[in-house]
Amino acid sequence: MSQTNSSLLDEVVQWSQETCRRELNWDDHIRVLKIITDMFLPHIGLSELEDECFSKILPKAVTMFDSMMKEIMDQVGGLSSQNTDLCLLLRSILQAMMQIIDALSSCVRHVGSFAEAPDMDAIRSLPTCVLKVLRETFQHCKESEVVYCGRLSLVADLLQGLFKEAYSLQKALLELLERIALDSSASEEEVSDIVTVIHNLLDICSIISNLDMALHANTWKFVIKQSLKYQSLVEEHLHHGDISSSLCDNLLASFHTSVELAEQIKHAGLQESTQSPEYKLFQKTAKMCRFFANTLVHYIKEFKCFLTKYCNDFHQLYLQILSKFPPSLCAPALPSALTGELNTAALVPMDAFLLQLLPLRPFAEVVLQQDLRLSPEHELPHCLLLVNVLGQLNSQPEEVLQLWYSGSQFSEETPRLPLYQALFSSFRRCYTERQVPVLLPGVMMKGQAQVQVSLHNHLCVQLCASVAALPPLLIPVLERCLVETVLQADSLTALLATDVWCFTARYGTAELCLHHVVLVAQLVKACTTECYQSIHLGLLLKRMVFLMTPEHQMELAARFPPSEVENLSVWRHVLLRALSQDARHRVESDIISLAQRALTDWQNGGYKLGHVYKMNSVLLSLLAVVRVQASPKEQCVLSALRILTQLWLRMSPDQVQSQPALHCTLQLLLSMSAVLVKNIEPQVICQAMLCVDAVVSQRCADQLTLAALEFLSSLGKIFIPADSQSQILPRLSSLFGVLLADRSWMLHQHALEAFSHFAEITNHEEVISESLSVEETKVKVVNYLSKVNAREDVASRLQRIQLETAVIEKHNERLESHKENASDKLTAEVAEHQLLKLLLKHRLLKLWQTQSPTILSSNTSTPCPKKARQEFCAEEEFSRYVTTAENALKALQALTESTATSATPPPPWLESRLQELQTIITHIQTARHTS
Amino acid sequence: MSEAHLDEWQRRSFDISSGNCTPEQTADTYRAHILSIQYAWASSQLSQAGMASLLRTYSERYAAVLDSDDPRTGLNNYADSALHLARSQRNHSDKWESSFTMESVLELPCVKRMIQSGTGGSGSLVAAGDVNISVGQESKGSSLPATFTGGRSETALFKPTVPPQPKTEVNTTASNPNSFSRPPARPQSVFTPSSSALPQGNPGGTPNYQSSFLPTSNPSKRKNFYNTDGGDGGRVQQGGQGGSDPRAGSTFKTAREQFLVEQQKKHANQPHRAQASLPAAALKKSLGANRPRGTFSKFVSPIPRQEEEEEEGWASCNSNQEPQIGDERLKNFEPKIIELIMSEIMDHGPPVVWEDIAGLEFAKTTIKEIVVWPMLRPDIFTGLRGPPKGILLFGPPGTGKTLIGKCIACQSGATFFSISASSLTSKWVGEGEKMVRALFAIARCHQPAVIFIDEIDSLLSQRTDGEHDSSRRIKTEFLVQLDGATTAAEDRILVVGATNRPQEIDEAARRRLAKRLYIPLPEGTARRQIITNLMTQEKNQLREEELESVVGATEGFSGADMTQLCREAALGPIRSIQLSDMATITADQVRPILYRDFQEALQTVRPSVSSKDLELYEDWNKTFGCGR
Repeated sequence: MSQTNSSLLDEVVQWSQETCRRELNWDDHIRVLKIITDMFLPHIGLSELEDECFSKILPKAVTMFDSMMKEIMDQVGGLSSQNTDLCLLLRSILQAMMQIIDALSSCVRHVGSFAEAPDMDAIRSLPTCVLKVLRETFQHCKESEVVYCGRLSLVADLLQGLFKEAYSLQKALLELLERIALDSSASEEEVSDIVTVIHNLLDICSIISNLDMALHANTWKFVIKQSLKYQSLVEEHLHHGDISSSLCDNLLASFHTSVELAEQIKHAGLQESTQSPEYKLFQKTAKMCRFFANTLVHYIKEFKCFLTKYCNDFHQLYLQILSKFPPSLCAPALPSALTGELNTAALVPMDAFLLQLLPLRPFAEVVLQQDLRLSPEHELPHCLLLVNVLGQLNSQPEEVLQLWYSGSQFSEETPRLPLYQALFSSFRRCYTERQVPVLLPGVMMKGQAQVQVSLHNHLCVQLCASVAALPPLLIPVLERCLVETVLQADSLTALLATDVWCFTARYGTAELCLHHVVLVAQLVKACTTECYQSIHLGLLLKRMVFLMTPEHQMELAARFPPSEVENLSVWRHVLLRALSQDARHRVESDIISLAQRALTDWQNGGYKLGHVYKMNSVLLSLLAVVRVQASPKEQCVLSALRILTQLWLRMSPDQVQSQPALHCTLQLLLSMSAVLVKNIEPQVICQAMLCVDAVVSQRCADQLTLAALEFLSSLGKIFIPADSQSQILPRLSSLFGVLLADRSWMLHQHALEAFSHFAEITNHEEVISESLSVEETKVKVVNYLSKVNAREDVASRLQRIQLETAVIEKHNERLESHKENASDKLTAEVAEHQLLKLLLKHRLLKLWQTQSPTILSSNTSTPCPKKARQEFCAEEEFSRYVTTAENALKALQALTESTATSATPPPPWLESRLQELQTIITHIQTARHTS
Repeated sequence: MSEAHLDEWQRRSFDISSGNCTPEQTADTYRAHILSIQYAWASSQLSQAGMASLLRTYSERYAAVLDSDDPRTGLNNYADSALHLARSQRNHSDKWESSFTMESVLELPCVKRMIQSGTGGSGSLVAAGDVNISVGQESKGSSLPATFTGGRSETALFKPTVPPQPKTEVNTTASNPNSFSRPPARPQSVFTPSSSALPQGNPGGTPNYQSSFLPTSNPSKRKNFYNTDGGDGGRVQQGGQGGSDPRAGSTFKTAREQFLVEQQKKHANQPHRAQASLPAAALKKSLGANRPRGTFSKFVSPIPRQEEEEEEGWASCNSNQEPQIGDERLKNFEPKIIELIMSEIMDHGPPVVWEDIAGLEFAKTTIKEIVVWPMLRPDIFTGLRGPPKGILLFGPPGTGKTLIGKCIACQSGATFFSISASSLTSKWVGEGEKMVRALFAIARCHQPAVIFIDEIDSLLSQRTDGEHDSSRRIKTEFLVQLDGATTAAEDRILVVGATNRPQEIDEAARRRLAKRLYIPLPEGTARRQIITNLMTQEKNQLREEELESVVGATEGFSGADMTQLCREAALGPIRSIQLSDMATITADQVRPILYRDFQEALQTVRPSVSSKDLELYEDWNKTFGCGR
C-alpha cells in the first residue's frame, strides 16, 4: 500500500459528515469503509478499537445505510420492468447495502478473533450499530412484498442475498456477545448497554417472527439467555411486559398456525404422509410453539415477581390454548397423530406454566375473582384450569394452599372465591358441556385402559382426591362451600356438591358425619316450604344418613324424635332402609303411632278440611315408612294399611275435584297404594280409580299425575276379582288412554313407562288393547316398546342445547334473585302491615273515645284491632258458609232432578236428611232473631 | 324441542334397561335425566312439585349407583379413582373437625336467604270458608255405587280401628327377615380400615396413606340399597356382566365428533391457504417461495435448512428448562430420559406386514397365535390363553428377528419400542436402570406395546461375580419389570428379545421369556422368495432354472447373506462398463443382471454362519426352544 493512499485515508477518516455528503457518493464511501475494515482493522488492538475506529466509522455506516434505505423507498414507486435505469439503481443500492453488512461482519469477525473476550466497553458501538442495520434489513425484507409491489422478482435475488448476509452477521454478533461476561461490578453503562442489546433483539424478534423460524427461535433463545445470564444486573431494567407479552403472542400465533395447518392436513387427507411438506411445516410450527411455551414458562419462573401485572394475560392465554383442545366444543377434530403433536407442543407445557403461576397472588386473584365474565367457549377451559390447580396444589407449601383454598379473608384484599367455590360455580356455568356431554380422560389405574368420563365424573374425582388430602385447617372452607353449593339453584351442581359431601362423610370420622347430618337435618327443618333448597337438602340428608354408624343413627332419632310432628319434615327425607334395626324400629313405630293419632284427631274433629294439611304432613312420613317395607305381614304395614283404607274411604271424587287441598292427600294415598297394592281391597281400588278419574279429567297438577301413574302401573301386579273387574278395568284403560296422550313430554314419557310396566306383568291383557284405542297413542306406545327412536342431527342438537342453556341459566338466576327480592318485598310488606296496624289502633282508640256508642256497637266493641279483625273475619265466615251451603244445595237439587229422569231412585234416606237440614235452617234463623 | 327431549330421555332409559351400562354410564344417564327434569321445570313444562317428585325418584336411583360399593353396579363414591390420585398424600381426616355449630350454620348468608324465602309462600289451599267442611261426608251415597252394597262405611272395612299400641309393633317388626342392610359400625373413616387396626399408630413418620376402599364386611349388602322393591325393579335393573359397554359413552362421543365434522365441512368450502398458495403462483410475489409457507409469512427466509442442527439446539434447550410432563405416571422420571425414549426408542418406521418376511412359516404362525391375536382380542385370550409376557427370538444373525419384532408391533396395532441392549448399557452409563424403568412406564402409557430388545444376551447375560455393578443393576431392574412385579396382570406389554447367543442368557431371564422361538436360516423356498423380491426392483434376465440353481448354491446362507449376494450380483453389470463410458452412459444402457453375475458373486459372498454355530442353535433349541 502506498504512503499517499494511506495518508489520504487517514484524512478521510477525519472528514465530517457534511464533507462526506458533499465530497463523495456512496460508492466511494463504501470503498473507504471496505478499506478500513479489510486493511486497517486487523492492525488495531482491542484496546483502541472503540475509540479509534468503531465509534467513528460505525455510526457513519449506519447513517449511510439509513440513507440508502431512504433512497430505495423514495425511488421504488417508479419501478417497472421497462424502467431499466431505476432497476439498475435499486440493484446497485442493494448491493451497496450488502457491502456495508459485509464490512460490519468484518468488524465482528475481527473482534471475535481475539483470544480473550472483549469487555463491553471496548466494543460499545459495535452491537448497537450492527443491530440497527440488522433491524433495518429485516424490516425491509419483511415489507418487501408491499414495498416492491409486484416487482419483487426484479430484486429478489439481491434481497435474498441481503437477508443471508444479515443472518450470518447476526449469528456472528450473537456468538460474540455470548463470550462477553459481565460480573456484578459492571458499570451502569455496561449494564445499560446489555439491556439495550436485549431490547434491540426483542425488537428484531418481532420483525422476523414471520420470516425465518430458526432465526426467530435462536434470537429469542439469546434474549432469554442473556436476561438470565445477567439476571441480577438487568432485571430492574428489562421491559418485562414487552417480553412476556410478545412471548405470549408468539406462542399463540404459532399455536393457532399449527392448529390451522393440522386442519388443512386433515382436510387434504394428508395425515398419512408424514413426508409431505405440509406435515413438515406443521411439525416445525408445532416445535416453535413448544419452544415458546417452554421459554415462557422458563421466563416466568425466573422473573415471577416482575410479571404480576400480566397475570390476566396469562389466564387468557391458558384459556385460549385449552379451548382448542378436546373436549372443548370449539376444538377441531384432528387425527390422533396431529393431536398428539399439538399436545406436546402446547398442552403439556401448560401444566408447567400453571405450576409457575400458582404461587402468584395476582394470578389467584384473577382466576378466582367473583363474577368472572368469560365467553362461553372459555367456560370449560376455565373449569379445567381450576381442576388442574386443584391437582397441583398438593405439592405446594402451606401459604399457597391458603391462597387458593381460603378465599379472601379481609375486606381490604381483592376479593377472591375459595377454590372449591370457584370450581362449583364454574361447573355450574358449563351447562352446554354437561349436556352434550363432553368427555375427559378418566383416572388410569390398575393397569386398566383409560376411559373417557363425563365432566361431572372428572370433577367429582378430582374434588374428592383433593378432599382426601385436605389439612384440618381447611375443613371450614370446604364445609362452607358445600353448604353454599347445595343451596344454590342448579340441581346438577348441587348434586356434585352432594357427591363430594358424601365422600367427605365417608372419608372423615363418624363424629364429623353425625355432626353434618344433624346440621343438614336442622336446615331441612328450618326450611318450611317446598323450595329448591329443601329439595337439595333432602337429597343430601337421605344419602348422608346411609353413611352413619348405628349408634349415631340412634342419636339422630333422639335429637329429632319422629314422634314430634315438627320433626316429620326431617324423617320424610330419610330412607328408612338406611337405618340400623334399632333406629329403624324406633322411627317407624314413632311415625306410625303419630299417624294413628293424627288420624284419630282428625276423625274426632269431624274430618275437617281445614285440618287436612296436618294429615298430609303425617302421610308424607308414613309414605317413607311404607316405601321401604318388603313384607306385607309386618305390623307397621298392617297399621299403614288401616290408615290408608280409612282415608281412601273419606275421599270422594266430587270433593277431590272441587277441593285442591285434597290433591296432596290424594297424591300421597296413591303413592302409598302403589306400594301396598297387593293388600288393598278391590273396593278401595275402585274408590281410588274414581278419584283419579275425577282429577285427571281436569288438568291436574303434575305430581298428582305422576302419583296416579305410579298407582295405575302397580295395578299390573294384582289380579282383580271377577266381581270388581267391570268396575275397575274399563276405568283403568280409559285412564291410561288419557294419560298416554298427555301433552307434556315428561308426563307422556312417564305414562309410557308406567303403561309398559303395567303391560309387562298384568294378567288383564284386555286392558292393554283397550287403552290403545286411539291410533296416535298406539303408534307412540308401539314405538316406545320396540325402542324406535329418532335421533337429532348433531349440529341442531348443539344449537338446541345452547338455547336451552340460556333458559336454564335464566331460570336459575330468577330463582335465586326472585327469592331474595321476594323476601325483601315480603319483609317490607310485613313492616308496612305492622305500621298500618299501629295506625289503625291509634285511630280506633280515638274513635272509641270520641264517637257515640252506636258506632262502637256496629263497628267494634273494643279498641283492640285484633279483636276487630276477628269480628271482621266472622262476617266473612258467614258469607262463605252460606255460599257453600247454597252451592251444596244447588248441587243436590241438580242431582235429584237428574235422578228423577233416570231409572235409579234417590236413596231412601234423602227425605229424612233434607228434613234435618230444614230444621237446622230454622234453628239458625230463630237463633239470629233471638240474639 | 320437547320431541328431542323425549327421544333423548328414551334413548337413555333404553341404555339403562339394556343392563350393559357400567356404573359410570348409569350415573351419567341419571344425571342427564336430572338435567332434563331441570330444564322441563325451567321451561315451565313441569311444575315445581312435579320436578321435586321426579328429582327425588331419579336422584335416589343415582345415589344407589354412587354410594354403593358393589363393583358391578356401584361407584363407591369414586373412591378408587380419588384415592388413587391422592395416594401419595397425607390423610388428615382423623383430625377434621367441623367449624359449624347449630347456631352458626343458621347465620350463613345462603341459609338465611333460604329461611327468609321459606317463610313467605306457605299459603293454605283451603279456602277459609271450606275449613270446616267435613272431608268425604256426603260422598258415599252418590259416588260409590253398586259394589259397596252393605255397610260400606269405614267401620265395615276395618273393625279393629282402635289405634294399635306402638310398643307391640316395635317388637314384631324385629322379626322382619330382609329388612335392611347397612354399613358396619365404623369408628373412623370408611376408606381407611387400617386406621382402626392401628389406632393413632401413625404420628408423623409413616403417614396415613390412602388405601383403597374398605370393602364392607358384607359387600353385597348395600348394592340394591336404594332400589324400591317391586315397581322400580324392572326399570332400574343393571347389568350383570359389569363389563363395559361403551355404547352410551361412545355414541355421545361420536356425536360430538360428528358435529365437529359437520362444522369442518362448512369451512371446507373456504380455500385452504396452503393449497391456494401454489409455489408457481407465489414465486412472482415473494422470495424463496418454493418452500411451503406459514400462514402469515410473506417474505420467506432464504436460509437453507443447514440450520436443522441449530433447531435441534433450540429444541433440546427446552429439555433443560422445564420438565414436560405428558402423563402423570411419568412424573417421576427425568424429562430427558422420557424424551429420549419417545424420540429414539419408540419406533415410527414404515409398517411391516407378514408377507415381508420370507419363509419362517412356523414362527409366524406361532407368533400370530400367541401374540398378535391376544393383543387384538384381549377379551378372548384370558386366563390360560393369556399371552406370555415375553418371547425370545433366537437364531443365527441376519435371519429376520428384528423384522419379526417390528411385524408383531405393526400387526397387533401396538406401539413398538425398539432398543438395542448395548445402548442401554453403554450410551447412558449409570442411567441404565432408570431407562429401563422409564421404558416400561412409557410402554404402560402406550398400551398395547411391544418392547423389542435386540442383542438381549448382552443385557441378560449370566450374572457373574466379576461383572460391573451398573450392568448388574440394569439386569435386575429388567428382570423385575419383566416379571410384572410392577406391571399389573392386565398390562398389555410384550417384551420381545432377540439374540444370536441364546446360550449366554441368564436362566432367570430365560424363564421369563416364556416362549422361545428358533428363527432358523431360510430354507430353499424362502431364499427363492428373497431373491425374487429383491430382483423385482432390478432389471434382470434370470431364468427359472438359473434362479433354482442360485437357490441351490446358497444353502446355509442367512437372509442378510442373501441380500448381500444380490447386491454383489447387481454390481456385475456396472463392473462391465468401461471406465471411460461411466460418465456418459445413461441408466437405460446398463445391461440387465445375468446369471453369471450371480455365479461371480457366489465366489465372493460366503455364508456368515458356520455349521458349528448352527449345531449350537439347534442343540439349544432342542433343550429350551418352543418350536420344532
